[in-house]
Amino acid sequence: MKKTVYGIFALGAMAAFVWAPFRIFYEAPIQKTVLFFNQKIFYYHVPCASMLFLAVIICGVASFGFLKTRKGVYDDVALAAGDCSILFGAITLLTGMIWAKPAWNVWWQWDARLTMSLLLWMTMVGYVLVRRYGGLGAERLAAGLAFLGSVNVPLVYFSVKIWRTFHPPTSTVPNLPTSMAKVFGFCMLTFLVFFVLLLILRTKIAENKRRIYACNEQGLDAGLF
Amino acid sequence: MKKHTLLLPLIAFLCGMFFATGSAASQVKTAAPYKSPQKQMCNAEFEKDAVWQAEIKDRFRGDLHEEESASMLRNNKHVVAAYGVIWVMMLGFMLYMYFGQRGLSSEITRLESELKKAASS
Repeated sequence: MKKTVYGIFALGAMAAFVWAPFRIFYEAPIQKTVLFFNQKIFYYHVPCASMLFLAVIICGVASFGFLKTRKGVYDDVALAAGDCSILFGAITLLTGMIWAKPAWNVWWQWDARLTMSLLLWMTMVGYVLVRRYGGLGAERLAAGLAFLGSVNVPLVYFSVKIWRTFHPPTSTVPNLPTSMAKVFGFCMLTFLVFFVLLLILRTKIAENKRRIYACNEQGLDAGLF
Repeated sequence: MKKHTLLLPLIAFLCGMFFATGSAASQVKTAAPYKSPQKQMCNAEFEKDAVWQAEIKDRFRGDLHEEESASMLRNNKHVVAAYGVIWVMMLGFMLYMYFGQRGLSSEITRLESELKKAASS
């Protein structure tokens, strides 16, 4: 039953990913004042940034749960969300850099939003590295790091309001024209479904890995192998 | 005398050019709307005649497409690069997950066979 539901969602996400570019390039109008055709990057860049925030928050909450209860399932979710945050963070930063070149004529600017996003991404890379290569007990240390990373999310989001930045303000999305907002909403939904699927599948892999590790340990203790 | 007569049209042409550019520049500065009865008549006729409208649209269709595509081409390399990065990275992550799962499956098979060995001995 679960597999069928995942399959339906996966097919839906795939169809949406095929359909999204058609909507972006044909349905959404071209922004004719400053960014022109480059504005089309927005429809994937912003959903990816939103998924980065969501992944970091999930990772932080699950890590907090793990620190409190020491249940393996929280650790699995946290690790899966940590991996997803690296993926979406890398996409956000790279597409942002590509967009910055035609918009600001530089690949990178040490602007508050950009720098804080980079720091957030680096924190999550640190989390995954500690989690993977830290040895015994590293999961608790990594959980603390992930919790700190999730505290950074509101700061990254509001950085455009707190400091003077080149980056467009948070009011850009609510003030989109209807024709653009419809396509943007569709892209957000597509990425959300994709993200949830990735998170579930990655959690399953982490869970299986943990169980195999436990089986190996028990087998060795019992002298079976 | 003849030489001067030959030079006169050239001087007149240059003066005309000079004053024409000067007057065009002054027109741009003041930006006064140009009113002409011929233009108004032409606009009125244009509104009446649907066939003429279609003909004029067809006349400029190619030029407009060329201008639009040139504007797109100046910008599209960044859009293509951004979308390429997104799709390649997502595909890479899915492959990473797929190979991770494959490694786990082989590990499960190994454990099962070792359990069987241990049970038989």
